[in-house]
Amino acid sequence: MTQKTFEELFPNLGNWKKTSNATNAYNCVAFAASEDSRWWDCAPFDDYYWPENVPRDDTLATFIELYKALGYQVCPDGSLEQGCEKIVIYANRLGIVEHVARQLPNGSWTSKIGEREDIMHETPDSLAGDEYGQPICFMSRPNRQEAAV
Amino acid sequence: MYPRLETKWANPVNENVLRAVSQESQESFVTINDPDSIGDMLVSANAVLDKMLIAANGANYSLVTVTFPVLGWAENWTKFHELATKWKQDRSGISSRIQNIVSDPNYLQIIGMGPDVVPLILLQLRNELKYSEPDHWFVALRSITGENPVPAASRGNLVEMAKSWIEWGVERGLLDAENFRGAFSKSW
Repeated sequence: MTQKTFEELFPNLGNWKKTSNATNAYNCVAFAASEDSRWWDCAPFDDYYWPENVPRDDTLATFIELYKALGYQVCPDGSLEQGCEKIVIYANRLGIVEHVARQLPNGSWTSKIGEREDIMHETPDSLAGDEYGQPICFMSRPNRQEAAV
Repeated sequence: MYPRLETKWANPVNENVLRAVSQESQESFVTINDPDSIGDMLVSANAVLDKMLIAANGANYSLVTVTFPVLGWAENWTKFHELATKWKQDRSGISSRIQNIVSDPNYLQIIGMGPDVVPLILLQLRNELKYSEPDHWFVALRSITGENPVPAASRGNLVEMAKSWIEWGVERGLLDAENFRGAFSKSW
């Protein structure tokens, strides 16, 4: 079976650009946290990386807790705000988290698509649909580079 | 246990010799051990000629050992190879959730093959580590063996996880540093 194209999988994709080669070295959960060397997974078996103090389940509450531990707080939307880094969490109809994307400094968004490539997409809605569900929670933290300055 | 035929050839490879070796095999599958070039791998008899020719194009290539497996070994490999291929081909590759990736029916059937499949998974993992990227074999290995040799600090790093499991297999004689042993009767 040939892999479906991103356009087939994400009907709202619009303009997008591939920004890496395919790899399973990391997943979207890690990538949203700016890590590209580990696969973060909340599955009950602890074969994969997951922070020790965060529950191992795939609910929105758990993912909020995960990213809070990294300095993020829930925020109202994905608008571009000076001095802030934002992420967006996607969940399906059952409330299971399926994806996380990260905002780029120019206001567009970047996602690691499962075991495939990193891509840049225009909005959080670009990936909304049957595969990842809907973008249901935005979180932000102070931009670490600017904070360091 | 394994009747062994060793063939030495020089560059350029004599294609007729390769074809004869391939046709001589009474089993469906053979192991090619070529540490200088392609490493050892399992290929079907039909594919062996191509693989050998590919190997022969390597500059350092000089010796190939062809190992004819016992029948049960070949059957297990056939089943594992078919299921693994389907698992890899059927998944969309867009899920970041390991539960989605390992709940595929083909993957579950591999787990259902039990201890006999462990050496084959380890060999597959070692080849992936050598030639591409390790795939998500860890849940299967853990489920079948009940062990997890991956240190906490390496969890999530698929390369380190693969190395830990291969080392685990070497320690138990399921494969050695270079060669597959196919030791199905081994217990851990």
